Amino acid sequence: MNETICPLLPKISYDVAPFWQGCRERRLLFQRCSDCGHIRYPASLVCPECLSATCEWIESKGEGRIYSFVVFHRAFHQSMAGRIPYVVAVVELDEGPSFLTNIVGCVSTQVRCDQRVQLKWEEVADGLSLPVFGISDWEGKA
Amino acid sequence: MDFQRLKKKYAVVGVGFTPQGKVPGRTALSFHVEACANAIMDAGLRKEDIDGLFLYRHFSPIGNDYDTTAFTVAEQLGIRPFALNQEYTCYRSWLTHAIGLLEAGFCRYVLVSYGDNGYSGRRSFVKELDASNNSTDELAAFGDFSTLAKYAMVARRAMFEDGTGPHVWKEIALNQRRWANLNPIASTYKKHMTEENYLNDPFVAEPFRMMDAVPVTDGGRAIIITSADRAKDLKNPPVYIRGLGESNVPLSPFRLKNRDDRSAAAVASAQAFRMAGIGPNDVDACEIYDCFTFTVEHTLRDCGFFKPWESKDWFKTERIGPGGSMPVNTSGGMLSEAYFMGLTPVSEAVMQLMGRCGQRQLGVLSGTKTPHFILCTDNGGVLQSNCTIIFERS
Repeated sequence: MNETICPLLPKISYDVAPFWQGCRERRLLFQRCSDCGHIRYPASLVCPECLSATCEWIESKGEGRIYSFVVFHRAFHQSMAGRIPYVVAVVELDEGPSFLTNIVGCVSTQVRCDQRVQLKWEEVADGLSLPVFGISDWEGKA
Repeated sequence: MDFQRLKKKYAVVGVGFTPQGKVPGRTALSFHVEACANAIMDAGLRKEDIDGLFLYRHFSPIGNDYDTTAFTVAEQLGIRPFALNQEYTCYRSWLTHAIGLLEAGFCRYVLVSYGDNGYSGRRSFVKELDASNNSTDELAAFGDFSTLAKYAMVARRAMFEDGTGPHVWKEIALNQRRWANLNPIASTYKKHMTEENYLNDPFVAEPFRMMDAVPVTDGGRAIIITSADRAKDLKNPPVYIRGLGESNVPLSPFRLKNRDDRSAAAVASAQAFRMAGIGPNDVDACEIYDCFTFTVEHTLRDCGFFKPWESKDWFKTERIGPGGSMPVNTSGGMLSEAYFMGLTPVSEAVMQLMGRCGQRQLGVLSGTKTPHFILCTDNGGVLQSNCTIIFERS
């Protein structure tokens, strides 16, 4: 009997497939509206600002700041049991979108709102990497 | 938008209760049906009068239970309503839809119901709204589980921006428990909570503890809405809808901001106050949707009762507790009475204004005055949907 606990993998719909293909190539991609320039996330067929269906995928520089974060002290799924306490955060990317992610490479008590963070990649399975972030500014300033 | 013409045109005329708390061996459907039957009797109506039936959002059936729909509830009540409705998820549009049906003349008496057997069925609140439980979306890989954590994300930003935190939320939890200790049907009646109980409760998704979260309940609750004209001939003193507003902020929870002057609560409450022609200072008590302690703070802040940085001074026993100047969640709320979604605050506001609340009745309880206006909020999603109602005594 296979006792391995599989990590939870993202369920990838048609709408979000290009984003996750980007993650396979370790590129953090967002849609930019070709008409109004709005950069959007989550992925969608039309721009929520102007309803244009024309867009291009642009690569984020992967820099931003922590808007907020939660420290999980309980594993709601067995795949997380070995990771608690772990940090789920909302990062506001310099390009505009808010992005739900993890803060890694630190202990949870070091995380603060408005800290600058930098994109890192964490391989989860089968060539798929998750875009996570590490603290780049230990002073905690925006 | 101006809803002045609807001011005091509609009223709540009946409330239905069921056994609640831990009530094993019952289906969710049976709680709906019992609450509805009791609401019809409480209003002094015949079941045939009900021509609109709305069910709150419900969760997946548990154990050997079947799914509950407005069809099955109507079947067991033996009624054939003109309009049926059931929330698919937590947008809180039942009141505006009901008023629309009444105003258009499609319906005369709308019955609104909630029922669940989640306590005996062992449904955990942190799991129940959790779409990522079974890896159903792209964010599960980041371990972002539970509705609790999504509210906690906004709450953490509020700690940073506004200086709030567990020192404020414990006051909300403790004072609602004080109210519940005056309510014999509350699930925590005679179960006292101390500051140490709260602070010793471990973090689940920090900054939230389990004591910041509503426990699940067995039971049901229902209310009936009709026109003020029809209400005059019924058994109970009508409780008028003086003002109402609804707003939805359909953003993924990670896109929500702590401070947002277009938040669902800010927009809905501003509409309700404008329609009612009153302001926060005219309100005598508040019944606020309290899925989490922080929800009460966030909602009352955005309704305009205090500035963001004032919550520490606002949530004091002398204001929100029994005998306080602005009673909040006088049944104990969902946190300490029972979880019937928006029907917990709505039914308590109605019962208070009908004068049917026993030892916790405002105006009877020492240090309180008879309420004229009660502000009530329903909330859905992660602060994404808000319906604010200002009820008025007849």
